[in-house]
Amino acid sequence: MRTPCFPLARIAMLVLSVTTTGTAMAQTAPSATIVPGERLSNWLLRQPADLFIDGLIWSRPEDMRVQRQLKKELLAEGVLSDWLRNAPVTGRAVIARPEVRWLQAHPKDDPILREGDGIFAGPRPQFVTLLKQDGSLCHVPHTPQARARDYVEACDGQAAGHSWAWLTQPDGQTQRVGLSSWNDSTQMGVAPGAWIWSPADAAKVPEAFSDKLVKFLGTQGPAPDPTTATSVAKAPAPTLTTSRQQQLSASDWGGIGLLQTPTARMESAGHMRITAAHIQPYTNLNVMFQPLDWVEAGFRYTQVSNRIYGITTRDYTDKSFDLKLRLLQESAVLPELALGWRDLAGTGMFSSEYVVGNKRTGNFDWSLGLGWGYLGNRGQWSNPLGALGSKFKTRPSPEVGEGGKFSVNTYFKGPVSPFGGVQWQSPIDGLRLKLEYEGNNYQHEPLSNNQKQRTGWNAGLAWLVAPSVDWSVGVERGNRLMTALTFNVDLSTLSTPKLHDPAPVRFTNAVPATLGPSGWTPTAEVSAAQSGWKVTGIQQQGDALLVDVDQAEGTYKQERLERIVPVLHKDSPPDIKRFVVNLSDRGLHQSTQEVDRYAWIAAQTQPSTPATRPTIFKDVPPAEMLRSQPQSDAAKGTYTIAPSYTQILGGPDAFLLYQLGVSATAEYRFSASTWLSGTLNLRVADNYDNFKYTAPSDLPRVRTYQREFTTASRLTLPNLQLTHVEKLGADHFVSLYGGALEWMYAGVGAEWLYRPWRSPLAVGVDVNRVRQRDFHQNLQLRDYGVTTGHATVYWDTGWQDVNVKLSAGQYLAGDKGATLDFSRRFSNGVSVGAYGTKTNVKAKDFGEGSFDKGVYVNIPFDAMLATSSKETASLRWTPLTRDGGARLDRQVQLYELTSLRDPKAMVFRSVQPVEPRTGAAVFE
Amino acid sequence: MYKHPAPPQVHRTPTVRMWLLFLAAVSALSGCTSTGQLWLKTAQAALHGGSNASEPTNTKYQYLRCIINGRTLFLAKGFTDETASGPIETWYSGGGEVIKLLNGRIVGTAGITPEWRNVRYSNVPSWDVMAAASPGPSSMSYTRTRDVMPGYLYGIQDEVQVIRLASSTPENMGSVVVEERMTSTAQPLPAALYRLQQQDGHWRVVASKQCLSERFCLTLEQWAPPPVPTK
Repeated sequence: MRTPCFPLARIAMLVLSVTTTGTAMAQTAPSATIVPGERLSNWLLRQPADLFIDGLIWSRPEDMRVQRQLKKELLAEGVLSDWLRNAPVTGRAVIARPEVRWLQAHPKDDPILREGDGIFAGPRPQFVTLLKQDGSLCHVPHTPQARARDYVEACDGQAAGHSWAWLTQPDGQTQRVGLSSWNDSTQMGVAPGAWIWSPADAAKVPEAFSDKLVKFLGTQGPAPDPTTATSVAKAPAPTLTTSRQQQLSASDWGGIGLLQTPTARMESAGHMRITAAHIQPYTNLNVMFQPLDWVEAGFRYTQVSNRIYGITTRDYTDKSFDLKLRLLQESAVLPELALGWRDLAGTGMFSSEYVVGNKRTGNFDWSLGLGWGYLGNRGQWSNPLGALGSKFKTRPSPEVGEGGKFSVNTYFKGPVSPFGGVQWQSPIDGLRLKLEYEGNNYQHEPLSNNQKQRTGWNAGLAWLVAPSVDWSVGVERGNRLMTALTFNVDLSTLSTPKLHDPAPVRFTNAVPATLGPSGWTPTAEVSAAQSGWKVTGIQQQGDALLVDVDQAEGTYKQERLERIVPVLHKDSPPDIKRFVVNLSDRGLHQSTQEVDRYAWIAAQTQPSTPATRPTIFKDVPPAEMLRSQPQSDAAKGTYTIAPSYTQILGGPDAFLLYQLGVSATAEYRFSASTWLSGTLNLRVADNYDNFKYTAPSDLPRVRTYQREFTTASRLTLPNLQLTHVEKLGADHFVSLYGGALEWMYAGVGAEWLYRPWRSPLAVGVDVNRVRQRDFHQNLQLRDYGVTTGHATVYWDTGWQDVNVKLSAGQYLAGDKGATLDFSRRFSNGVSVGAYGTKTNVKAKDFGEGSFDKGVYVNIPFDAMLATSSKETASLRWTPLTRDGGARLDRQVQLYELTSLRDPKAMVFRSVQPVEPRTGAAVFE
Repeated sequence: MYKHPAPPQVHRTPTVRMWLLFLAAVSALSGCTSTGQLWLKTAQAALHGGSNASEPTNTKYQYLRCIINGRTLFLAKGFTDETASGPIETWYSGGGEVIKLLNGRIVGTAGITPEWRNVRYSNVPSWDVMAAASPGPSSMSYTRTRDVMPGYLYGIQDEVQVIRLASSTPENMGSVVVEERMTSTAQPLPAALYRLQQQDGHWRVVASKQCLSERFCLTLEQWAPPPVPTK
């Protein structure tokens, strides 16, 4: 039954082409001979029409080294040793598309064949091959629309005991697929010639080995058809369409869950979800984030329709935060397990803790949990943690006080109730039905607001009405209708093609003999138009073209740089071999990118493999900068006029207080590093008639005059300041500024920042002497003045793209303390973060909320708009505006201004569709 | 090789309208943040949408006008390869995407999602036979086998019934319209329509509507640049 596998040797029997230094293969077809220097497409045009190009192997000897190392690592594992020893190292690289006429139109994907290259291809295979643990091969006739599980069953009689399969398609692409009812998901088909590796769970083959093996299989080309009938299994039935991805949905509380109860499930990192849910008397507006794969967190506003907010006539509004941590990922035996807190830092009205597990069986996802607090109000069981001490047996009242505190003394205390249920993914795409048993007893509702409850069983459905929109409806408590709408988006994949940008300058092979009669002026203009950057100087120096760029802003800097290069190439004489682009912002030189022109040209005209790929873009340390002649930088004024909108949510006067207006922003540059900037805002429409409330405060009123500042004048000057920035030495930067620094404060200030180039660490200090501005936001000042400033450490942890910022100093109310800020920044530049400030102000003096805290999302406009933009949308939620822990909102911050020194400055890019590129390693 | 000055592409591009909706929701929750620029720019981008390609003017090339989801672009013929099945025409979009036609039927696409590869037809009745057939249901059918990417759906087999429709509209005077319905397949597609006209003594496809998936259909129509007025 065993068939030794020498796939390349077999393939070589069919069509083989290797030039002189290729591996020793037999029977080279005359038509298959490579002519060094010809394109792959030309070689293909000489081949038989029935050649299976999808499985074509293009190999280069230089790429064998890495693959040899991969094979060595696999052999070290001691699994499949005999088979691996006989498997050749091929040096295979990816071919983007097996279509001759397409390759001809895409020279970047059409390799120019070289001496030593090898090409191997044969007729279309008819089988799929399962590599078994003993090194034998099981060949199964290819069946359209059969999935990996079907082939495993065809070989082994059953797929039970095989949780996973690793699939290698004949073009080298790989995928890991679930074979069981707990891990089934939407799957690719299996092409003829594919390899499948599916060790039995009992064999306990390390997953790392399987991950590497499947990549190595990608270097082998299509699996060979059998030479004898004995190794052939029966063809499977097509069942691909039965594979389905588990569709998650939000609970009434915004987190992934059923109706009232949470589950252990989570979305992948980057997801953000907004859920509006209503069930009398509660309306929840939930905002949930998934900053890491194992952390779900968010906040909510809860309106209680039959209770009023303080002395007003408005519905009572509560604010709360949630956190859920995944403890365990589901496996064949173990459930997914999560630990969570609901309302962990609000007033504690709904404070709950829970532990919950999930196990999936096909279209059913079962959850079972234990709830404390609101989720366990039924109190059916005594607390199992009671064994650890009697203090766990009863749940103390939360220390609500001013709200907003972490009531650690109540966590996991008191009686518990079980909860759980099931979500069924119906055959109708997008429709999920839910049934749950909740642990809450509505006779213990907060605000003495008990509700009738006929049963603890709730039922409902979630319906995917649009790709990102879920509509949910259900019956809860046995007598109430629940409705909810959820909007879900994956921020980490946010991207929009730049359809409205200027058309990119097309690459041309032609190189001008000399510089054009207009000199470099047109080059600078087109470069500026292409990049959105200001080109301040351009000059040839030896074999280098030096290009000075200022205002090199925007998140996707590498993409902007890549748009400049074709412009420089188009106008540069042949003796220019390097483009040296100095990137500055506000006159602060921070980074230099050197482009190897001829390597770049080569990359435009042909693909290369990893081992032969030249370095095109070189990140040059600032100390090595070559500078062009300084250009006169004429003072220049700019302005923009745009609609403005500001709002206050969740206050006692109205849930939403808003103003619409027109905002004019102007700037006058005295030099590259000195500028005057200001904003004038005209409030056109608002609902400030409702704005009556001025929050009480025992502290200097540094922020709680919000109503007065907001309503005093329709025409305001939120900002008018003079700013100067300077670079002191290699890694030191300073700024000086004065004027109306923000809408509430005016004064002077300075900042120093030490930021080594490409370092994950930076340190800064800012000191400001400010006075409170007049409520009309004009040029007059009030009496209150303060010196405020902070020392700040910035740290890019390098762990899961998490950044940490710690600031300590004196705040606007004169209180002293620290602010800790965590954020996750995704590869498309979108970041999600949370911060908290604790100062020496006592909670009762701070007032409602106890301490300052908030969450934020920063989204580069580049990720959203069809036109390139340097701006970033900063969306920030703070539960309350209080006087403690309040910071000056400085308009210019050196850490932002020196973002070109960030280790990832040239890394952030728009999310591109995953497209195979010729030359990529099959295991990249 | 034909190169269009601007590269309108065949593939579908994500719309920003979804983000407009998202931003509306997000902005409605963003405390004291001025989002005016965000609104304005997003709205501008949303309103602009995708643009149509300008009409080519180079009379040296043969063109197909292609309409996808209301957007128009032009394909230029790059090659005609003689094969045992007949001449296969390769048509390029400005973005370098490829559509290959055999007697007006799609036999391959590249750079488009989805891609059809290795399309094989068997027992296809000729257009001349179809034009001579009586309008209405017929027993004529053929088998098509195709590989579809992405997804590695290799070897999908379609049984296609070919029906000549009655020509009733003025637009179709002098033409024959043929519909092709799939009677058996693992990947159902909407029916394809072909408008035939006689050229050089044979019936040929001058326009068609064909679908690569349930949601991705394109119309292809022979098109020639208007003649340049002589001075």
